[in-house]
Amino acid sequence: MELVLDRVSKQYSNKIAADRISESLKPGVIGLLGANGAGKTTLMRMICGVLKPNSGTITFDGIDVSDEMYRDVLGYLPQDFGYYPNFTGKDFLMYMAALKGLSRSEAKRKTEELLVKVNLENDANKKIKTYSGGMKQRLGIAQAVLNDPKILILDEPTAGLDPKERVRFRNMIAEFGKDSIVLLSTHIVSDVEHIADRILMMKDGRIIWDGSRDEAPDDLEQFYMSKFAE
Amino acid sequence: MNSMKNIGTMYRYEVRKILCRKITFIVLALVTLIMIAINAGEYIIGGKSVNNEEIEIVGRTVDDSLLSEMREAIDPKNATLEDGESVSIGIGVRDRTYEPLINYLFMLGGNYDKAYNMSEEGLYKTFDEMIDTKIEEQYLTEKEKAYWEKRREDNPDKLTYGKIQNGYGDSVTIIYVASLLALIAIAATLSGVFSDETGLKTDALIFSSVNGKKRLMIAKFFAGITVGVFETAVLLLACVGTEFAILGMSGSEASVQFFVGPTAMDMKVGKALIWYVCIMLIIGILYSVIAMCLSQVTHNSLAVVAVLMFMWLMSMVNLPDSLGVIKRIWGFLPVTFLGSWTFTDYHLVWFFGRHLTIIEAAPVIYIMIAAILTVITKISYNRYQVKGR
Repeated sequence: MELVLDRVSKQYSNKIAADRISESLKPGVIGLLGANGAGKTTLMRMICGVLKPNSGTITFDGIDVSDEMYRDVLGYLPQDFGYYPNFTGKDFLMYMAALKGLSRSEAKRKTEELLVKVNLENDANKKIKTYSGGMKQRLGIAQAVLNDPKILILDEPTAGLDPKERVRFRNMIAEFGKDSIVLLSTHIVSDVEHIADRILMMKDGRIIWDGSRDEAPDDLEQFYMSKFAE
Repeated sequence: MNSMKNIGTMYRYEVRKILCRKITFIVLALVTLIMIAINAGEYIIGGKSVNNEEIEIVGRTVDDSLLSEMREAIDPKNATLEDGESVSIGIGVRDRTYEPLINYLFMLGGNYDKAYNMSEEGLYKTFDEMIDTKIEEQYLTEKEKAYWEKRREDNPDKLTYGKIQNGYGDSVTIIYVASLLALIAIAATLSGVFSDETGLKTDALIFSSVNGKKRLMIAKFFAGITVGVFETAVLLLACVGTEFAILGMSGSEASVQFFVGPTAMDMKVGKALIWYVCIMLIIGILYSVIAMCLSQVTHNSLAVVAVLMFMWLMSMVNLPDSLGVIKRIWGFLPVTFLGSWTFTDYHLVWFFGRHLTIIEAAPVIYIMIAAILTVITKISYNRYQVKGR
């Protein structure tokens, strides 16, 4: 199981958001650290096939990102997670399950299971517009893992979560990382320092550091700051 | 199999998304009320009464015998001018049975004298002259002229009298208002089918899902068309239903000429209404596809409404016949197609070796345009990318 990025570039009119990025990602949790504007979201959108790179290829076990089979094994939580305000949490997950190709019975089972997992079972029948920011984020996480993805892309997933929810979320992600490729972007070092097997640091559209958690010093925060100051 | 079930589930949710917009119900309720008010207003508020006496002559051929009966039942009101000439200034009605008929003849002849003294020969000659004038005005080709000449020769039938106050006839002449109102309702309802996904930022979730590219678009299209056709049907019901409720459902055998004026497009008014109802439903599909296509291409609900309202305004522009092809294309604008004037448009459309009148051609043309717009929407949808917010 391998996600391969081969010289992936994306240029907007006056800015290079991704500059010839080549990486090979294997199962485990990969933390993508970078300041705002580093190009993390652009890179993640390209990995999810919702944004086309200007050049380069992205493949999963030889399957191109534009292929339907690729999207079948993909889970994605965008940074600006969108939802339908008039849908209930349960409706939203059922709709997303249909989008992800789950059968009706499977969708129902997974929806109920995930609502418990993200602690929304008591609010499942309330409209999403009544949810707090944290509840919406938990719903977003639930929809991302509905289809038991082999590639899970999480763009700033901890935004809006309280400390208790963060711990619950980290455990969930660590569990997923055992069998799947989990790419988690954040600019908060503590989000990844305990669960990431591998860390990528991104600046100005380029990966400036790539290594396992063990290769990085214990004080990851300090290391991260020093790398970005360079 | 699972994919088909997924499309069914997505379709239901897409319908729900459309119906979740409050504006859907507000606009539909308003336009329906307007339609009912236009149809029923003159009877309920204006005090217009329904003439039940004319039923006695329904189904009769309009010939000298009927015209003679009419003359006996009507008193011409004459006035003498200074030079001693006597002119008709109106009619006195002893028997209301013939009142609608004399009024119709007055509209044809232009004055009561002519109407009162109209003979069978004079009536059908007036008809022929009016049709000839219209054919001349329209710059028809020789082929088109030959077609209509033959059709008139093959169908020399005289007019069958039907109720002039006729639910079918009134519906045929007012249905274009329903088609204008349907455009407003559909613009308000379907403008966000695709653009709302950008606005709500759900596009990234959709396009990263396995069914998000192909099957969701099918579900969205069917959902949009379902709602659009439903709204069109509601307006049709408000239009035709009100007419039938007030004027009754008899009179389908009347000649359409009583309601749209002399035309070589001879048919019974019941059949004419069936044509118009079917075309209106197809127009509902076309409006829905146009709204969804614009929604996908512009990603902006307001822009969709603006373009469709511009189309609505265009219906007020009447181009002269001398503009040729432009005028012919203009004549097919769905917002103005379903008028009484369409029955006197004698242009023909050649379709796979067959000549179709514009009423026969319109459904084919509208379905073809809808199909082309669907392809454009699909291309735009497939090319869509989630860019910066």
